[in-house]
Amino acid sequence: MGWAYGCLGRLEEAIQNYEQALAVPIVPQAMQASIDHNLGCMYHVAALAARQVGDEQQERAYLEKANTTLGKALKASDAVKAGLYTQYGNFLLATGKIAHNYLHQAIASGDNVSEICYGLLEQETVTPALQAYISQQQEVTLRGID
Amino acid sequence: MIHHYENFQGVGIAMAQTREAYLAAYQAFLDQRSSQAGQEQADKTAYHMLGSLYESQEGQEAAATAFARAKMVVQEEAIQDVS
Repeated sequence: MGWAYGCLGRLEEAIQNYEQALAVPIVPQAMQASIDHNLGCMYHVAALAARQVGDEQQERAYLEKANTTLGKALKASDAVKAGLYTQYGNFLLATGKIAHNYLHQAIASGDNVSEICYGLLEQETVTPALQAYISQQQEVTLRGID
Repeated sequence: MIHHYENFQGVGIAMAQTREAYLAAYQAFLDQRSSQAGQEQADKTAYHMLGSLYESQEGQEAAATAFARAKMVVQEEAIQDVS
């Protein structure tokens, strides 16, 4: 449901559903990591939305949540997944932190399987070249190693 | 990494290779990987991103040509499999 709301551009409902999914006690670890990954990305989007309206307090709160949640996903994943490491590296860089080691690890992993899907909602979190491509295509799936 | 190249340099991180060398290595990686069947959409995105990283028109055209070539290889392999 969180993913579906994200695709529809309904950020608050996406976040709410991902948070509820994490509250379910029997969620397997791999799925938990995947939910944390998606939720962390949604928090990042929410932080950027707060920045756009000049709400610094809300922006900081969401950035903190994004950092914690993506960090949790990283700890829970059993191997270096290029998609997650790329996303976390990009997030840290976007927030002014030096995190090129995460990008190095993503490349070194050789992981050609894991993907990252960006829609119009997540568009603001990526580099300008990719933003332009997402605007054209509405949704872009790329391998994390790319 | 190439997307952030200037940012890294801006904060004093010494990159192991030049931007052009990274681009060439990335193109070689894509060319080597691109014969996987069923990955055409992912390849198209990757080559598009590669093209957008080239600053020159020639570089962008080279990336587009590389994708067209890779696509042709996949199609030829598919035809061979069928026959």
